[in-house]
Amino acid sequence: MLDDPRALLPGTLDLLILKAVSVGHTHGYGVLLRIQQMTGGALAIEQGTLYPALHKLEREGLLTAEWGVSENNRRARFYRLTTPGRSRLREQIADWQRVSRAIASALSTKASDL
Amino acid sequence: VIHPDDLDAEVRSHLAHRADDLEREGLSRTAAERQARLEFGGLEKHKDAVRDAEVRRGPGAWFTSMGRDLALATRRLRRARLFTMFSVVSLAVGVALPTTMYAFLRATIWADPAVDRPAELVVFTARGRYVTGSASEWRSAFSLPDVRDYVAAQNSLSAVAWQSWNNGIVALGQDGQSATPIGVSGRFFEVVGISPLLGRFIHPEDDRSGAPPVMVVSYHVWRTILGASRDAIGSVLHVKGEPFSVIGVAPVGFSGLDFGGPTRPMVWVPMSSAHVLSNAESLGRRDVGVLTLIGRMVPGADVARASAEAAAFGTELDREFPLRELSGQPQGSMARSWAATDYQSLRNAGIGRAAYASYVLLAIGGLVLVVACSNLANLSVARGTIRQPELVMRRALGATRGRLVRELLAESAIIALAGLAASVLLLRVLFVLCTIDLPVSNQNILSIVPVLDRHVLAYAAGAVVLALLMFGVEPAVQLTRTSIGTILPRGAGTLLPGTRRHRMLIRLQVAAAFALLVIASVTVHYSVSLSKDDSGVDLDQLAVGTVVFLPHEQFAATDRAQATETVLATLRATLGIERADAATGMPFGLTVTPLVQLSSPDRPAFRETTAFELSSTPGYFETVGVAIQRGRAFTAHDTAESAPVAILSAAAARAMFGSVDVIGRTIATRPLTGRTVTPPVITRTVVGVAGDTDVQSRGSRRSLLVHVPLTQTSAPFVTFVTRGRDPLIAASAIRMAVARALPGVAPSGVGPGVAMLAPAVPVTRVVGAATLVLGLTALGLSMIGLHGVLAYLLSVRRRELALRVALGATSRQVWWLSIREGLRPVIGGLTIGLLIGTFVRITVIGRLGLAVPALDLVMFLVVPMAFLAVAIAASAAPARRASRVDPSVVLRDA
Repeated sequence: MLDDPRALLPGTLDLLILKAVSVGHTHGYGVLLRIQQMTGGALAIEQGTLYPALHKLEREGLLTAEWGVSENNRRARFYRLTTPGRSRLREQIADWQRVSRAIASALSTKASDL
Repeated sequence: VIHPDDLDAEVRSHLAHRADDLEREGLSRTAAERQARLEFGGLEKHKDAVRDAEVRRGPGAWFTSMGRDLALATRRLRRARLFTMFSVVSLAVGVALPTTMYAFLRATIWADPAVDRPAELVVFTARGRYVTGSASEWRSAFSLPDVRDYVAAQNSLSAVAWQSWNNGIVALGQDGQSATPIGVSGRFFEVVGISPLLGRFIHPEDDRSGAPPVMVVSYHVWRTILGASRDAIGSVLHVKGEPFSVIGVAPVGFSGLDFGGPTRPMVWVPMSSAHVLSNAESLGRRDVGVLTLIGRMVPGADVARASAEAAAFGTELDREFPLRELSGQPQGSMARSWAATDYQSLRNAGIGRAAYASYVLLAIGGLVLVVACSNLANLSVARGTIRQPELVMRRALGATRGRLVRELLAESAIIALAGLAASVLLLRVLFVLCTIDLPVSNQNILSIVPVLDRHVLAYAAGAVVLALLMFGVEPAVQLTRTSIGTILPRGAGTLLPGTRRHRMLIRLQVAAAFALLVIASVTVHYSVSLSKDDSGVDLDQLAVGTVVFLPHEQFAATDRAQATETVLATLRATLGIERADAATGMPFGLTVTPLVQLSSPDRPAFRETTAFELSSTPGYFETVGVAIQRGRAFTAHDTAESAPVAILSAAAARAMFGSVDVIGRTIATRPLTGRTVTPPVITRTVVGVAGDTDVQSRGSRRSLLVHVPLTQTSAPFVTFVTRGRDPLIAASAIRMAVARALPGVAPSGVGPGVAMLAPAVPVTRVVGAATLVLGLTALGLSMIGLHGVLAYLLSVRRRELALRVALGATSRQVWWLSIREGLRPVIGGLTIGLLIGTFVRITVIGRLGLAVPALDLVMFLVVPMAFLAVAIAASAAPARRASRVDPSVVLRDA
């Protein structure tokens, strides 16, 4: 699994989903496409794992869902970010940036810097 | 909470969108849909994962999730069709067969007594009143004058009633149907405490002299003679030419006071009409007991008090009206020795040997259930083991263990319910097949009507619950115990923890099935040996009839001998009768043959043993077809004055002296009676050895048999036996000859030898067939199960076998290894089954005294061979596959 360069880091799926939905309400397949777009195809989400994650977020009250009609004229379940979802996204983005900055700085450290 | 339908719809919507995109990329719609599904992966697995992640709250949630579990389980079972079908069939058969056995026993041996509150009902007994040689308690021992005195004096019973000795039959219908007439006192049915099916029972007013003659008929008579018509009430049946109007029909189960034996078609008439009964002339006599006395205890009274009161009253009667000794017996005063026993315990004692047999039958039924259950357990463990990686994965994704157990249990519950439903259907069919009237003699009929009542249903439900525990709960708990850490690193396909349990289950199953067959073969053997008719007596052309010389003071010993000779002379002169002889009964089937204590002054090491002493006229052996193997038969020179002689049965000779070379040895016999005076010991010289016959009952050779000349014994009864082409005509000849020689004496038990002496054949045939069906079912079930499980076991070991090949094992070695692997648990099971089965078999044969060999070579060789053949067949295909594994392929795949 770790050999796949496109594999997702653990814990990042929720963040990506929240981010994708924050751009505008969309259905499950749309979330998948949007993540691919946003990451330029660099990260792959296993299709099957998407729905457990979506439903978990929905249950936690971070997303709401309702049935609607998609651009393909098909019935689809549309997800929308809730206010707690929006603040969770902000927190997670902040966390992620802090961690990634820390890791980036750690990785760019040379022996002479210490 | 996401509704499952929403989840479905959402996944479908996803697939549709993806397929739309793929279609735009140029794929056909079908290809696009297929591709979309492939990309998505196993649909159900994802749905399960989503469901696992859900956290449910609230009171309704439990039911919702349970309903969902059931729906899911149904879907899963529908996918595993073969597994489901085999499980349901296994369970249905495993439940229905033992349940039928149980219902059969409840309809026969374990039937509830057909009386109201049996614990309050007492039955009076006397000891040793009759010269039957039996020291047991005697029920039909009360004379009408004694009973009348007692009823006036007693105060421990709220009501007392009596019935006449139910012996003899009378013609009733136009087609020669007959029934046993029983005289009852006016309060008889009130004391028994049942309600009539139709009409009314006999009341005290019917039992007054001058009252119009009325009759109550048993259910069987109503059905066979009165055509089961509701208009039967008021119709007239003739007994000995006298008209009786039918006033009531007894309920289904009631055929008179049932003391554990088979019942007969019966009619009840008031004692006031007793002159039509066969023993009517004895009714007024104080010294002849012909009545059975019963009573209801007053509230708070107990049997001991009633018994003590009866005993005291009996002693009082002894003082006032001493009973005379029967002629020809040792002198001494006879006491009435009255006692009272509760009905229930008398009945249980009457069931006796049958009760033991019934436990054996029930155990055989239980073993079928065990085989079916272990089959199911095997299947569900096998199936569960395949699913284990998935289960482990789901636990890792957040499903609780309870949830997974519940899910597995839901499957088991559905199988159990389907199995129960199927078994109820099967039960209905089996019950119809089992509803029969079995003739057990020319008079007695065993009406078997198994009913699906609450007891039987409870038994079936119990069996299902047991099965559910065995194949559902335990494997579910086992399967979900494994944590992700133990399973994932090894990957699916390695040697699984289920294999050891499998071997154990196979062992259990094979052992149970084999033990069952070994035990069941006893009844099969027994019924085969019975139908082969190797009773030792050539029954086919025999007719028998017994005369009891009552009232006894009318017949001195010389009178009896004279009458016997007259009857024999008449019979021998009758056309169609080749031979006629007389004896004190027959080796089996007639219980009048007296018991003696047998010992030998020649051989003190032989412990005094109870034996049957059969006295007979010189030609008896030839008439009944028993060969004299050594020495001689009795002759006209063996008289009361000559030296006492005896002929031993070969079995008795071997038991006493260890060989049949016993001519000239001496034996000693001492009559067994219930009296206080010890009868003298008679020393006899053995003059011959006779071929073995069944003794006491058909199919039993347990008891020893000693033949003595009829002239050297004295018994107040004699059985006439004739040989001729038409036993029916001979039977009526016996009746007529007796009527002419002994006016006023009616012979009893007159009929063809087969009907009178070997009536149990149809019953044992049915029981034999039933146990054979059980045994073969168990065999079939376990062989199918064995095949499936062995094949499965080897398939999961593929990886290990591949490793062996990689390490240098030849394919021949691998093949042998696979076969050995399959055979090991089977051989273990066969050994256990053989030990248990043989032990039980020998115990059962000993307890029931059956003329069946303790060891059955066919059973011990053929059946294990069949098991081994199936085991080899089951292992062969996977073994061949295993021996051809390409290690590089198998190991890479894993």
